[in-house]
Amino acid sequence: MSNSNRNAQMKLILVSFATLTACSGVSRSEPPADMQVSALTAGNPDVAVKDVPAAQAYAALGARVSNGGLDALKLAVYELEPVPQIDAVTSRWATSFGAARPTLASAPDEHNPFVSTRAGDGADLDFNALSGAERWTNRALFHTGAGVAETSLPDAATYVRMARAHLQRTFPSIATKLPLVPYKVRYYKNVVGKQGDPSTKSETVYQIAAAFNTTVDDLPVIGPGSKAWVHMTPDGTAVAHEHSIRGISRLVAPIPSSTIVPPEEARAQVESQLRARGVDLDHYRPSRSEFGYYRRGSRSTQTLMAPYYAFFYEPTIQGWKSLEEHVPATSDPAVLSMLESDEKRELARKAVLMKTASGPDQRRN
Amino acid sequence: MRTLRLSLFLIAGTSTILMTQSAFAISYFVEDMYDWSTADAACTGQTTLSYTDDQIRMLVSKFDERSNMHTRIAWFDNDAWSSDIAEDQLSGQDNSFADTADFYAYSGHGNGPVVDGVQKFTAPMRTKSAGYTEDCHADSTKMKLGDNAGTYFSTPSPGNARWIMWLACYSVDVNPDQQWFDVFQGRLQYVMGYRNTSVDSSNTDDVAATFANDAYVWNRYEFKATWFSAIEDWWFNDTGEVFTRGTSSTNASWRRDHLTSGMLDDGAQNGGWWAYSYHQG
Repeated sequence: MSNSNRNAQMKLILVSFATLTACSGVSRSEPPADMQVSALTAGNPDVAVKDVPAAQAYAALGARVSNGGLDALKLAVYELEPVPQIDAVTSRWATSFGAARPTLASAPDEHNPFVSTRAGDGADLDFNALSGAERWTNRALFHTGAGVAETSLPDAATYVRMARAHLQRTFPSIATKLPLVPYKVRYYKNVVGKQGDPSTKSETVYQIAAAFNTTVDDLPVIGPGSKAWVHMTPDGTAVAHEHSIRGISRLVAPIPSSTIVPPEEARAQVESQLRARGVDLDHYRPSRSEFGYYRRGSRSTQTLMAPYYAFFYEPTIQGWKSLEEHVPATSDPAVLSMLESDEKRELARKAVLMKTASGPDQRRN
Repeated sequence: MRTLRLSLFLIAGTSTILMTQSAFAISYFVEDMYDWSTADAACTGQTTLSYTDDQIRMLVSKFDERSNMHTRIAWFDNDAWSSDIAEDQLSGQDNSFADTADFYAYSGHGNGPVVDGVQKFTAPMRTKSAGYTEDCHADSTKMKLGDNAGTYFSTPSPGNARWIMWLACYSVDVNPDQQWFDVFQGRLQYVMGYRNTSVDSSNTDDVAATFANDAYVWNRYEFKATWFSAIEDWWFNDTGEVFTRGTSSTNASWRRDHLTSGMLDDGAQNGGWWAYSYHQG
């Protein structure tokens, strides 16, 4: 990456942070240095950080609970920007992608939340009118391309740069909502062979995807949402992209440091819930412990964003599923009440999705 | 390869595109397990899962949106038996259950043990039918699906299965050719599942329904792209994998990348080549 590009990127991040600060309506301070995502990515703007910032934030928070210093951590509940209006999205599609304005047969709902049309180049455009996620897919190339030898590929940072450039070109507004941090790079592989003839087996890489995570007040976002990704052919041609990023419209309530739940207390809470459901945690080991602002996935509804813990467990018995659970990082009753109301809307969405006409069938033998 | 893409998009007005549902009829049979406390001895002791039942309920609900889905069977927990998907010639009952439908799905625990150097897939279920000589584990070596006329296992009961989906760990794993090649018995075309482990989370309970929305209800994308997209949320490191067969390297690869629910059966799935895809990172 050239110095000019790097400078431009850093400027973008700073502008984004200033935008967030201005939007939040209060003067926010940076988190302590040991929790800053920007400190982790400084000097390595194209290296995918994976889930390291969230693990780092979890460890740093635990240290502050033990050693003092929680007051330096300014946490809050934020309200997300509303899901964009359909007309605004389709107008932008018309301008940016030469897409026809779709005529809806019915209003988007839980069963079919999508507004879809086709771009001028034939690609599919989808907007989830409940979550705000947007997607562009070149269906002729998405997961159908020819593979190349993995050894012929440039390094992962190259794909991060190409993905960033693509997003800046096609979704310039994304980076103004929240700062983007290179998150993960994935290599999609094709394998083919003749049964009984191992010499015919060949494996190639046909698609590479680079994803970006976001930060809030320089703390990591955890959860599957608030991400942007670009799928590319090995030569860097974008074949699909999606983003589930919504900015922050206002600060709803600061979270007093006195209400922050210590990490191990949160873990005990999660494990108590799991055991109450009958989960045999004696045969699981903690595999990831994270702290950050939580966002549900690209198909979910959400209006508030708050600090959460997330805990992952891997089974020690092969064949069992791994587990993930998350809980708010505050015990403030008012905040918990708000988050519960927000989650109820998501649970109501899922209840609609599970409302089958006839339910489970009875076994006949 | 002939394809049947009926009513994929309805063009209305001036370049306005609306999605419309596919017109061809599809039957399905789906099962899940979340509580093994009353399972047979060989399968008890599995830990409880929290979201597998939700996965299948959302899938059923999504299929129910499709007015021409028929022969629907959905069995949850105590009703999920290993013999449901075991070949009837091997003392199972797939001729009455899993192999009667076009689409089969299961959500629960799963494993990919290597026995005598060959990897297979197993899934603990609650019990088995009285005459089944194996135990309560669904076992890929006992599955012979889509056994239509002319194939060894088609007598006396031919099968109908075309596509199967395992929402379970190790279900299409590092050696999917060893796990699934011999399960293809005429009509079966495609297997979807997970490489390594899969997570039980409230964030992944809609994976199967999301797949069904694009692959069956709207018939928008190929199985491969749809399955990978449904799983891909980036926070979890779940890895989707797909497997199919074909008549040559080129044919198997094409089928892996392009098969859809609207494609007519041309018999190529009986070829001696296989192809699969997954991701790393």
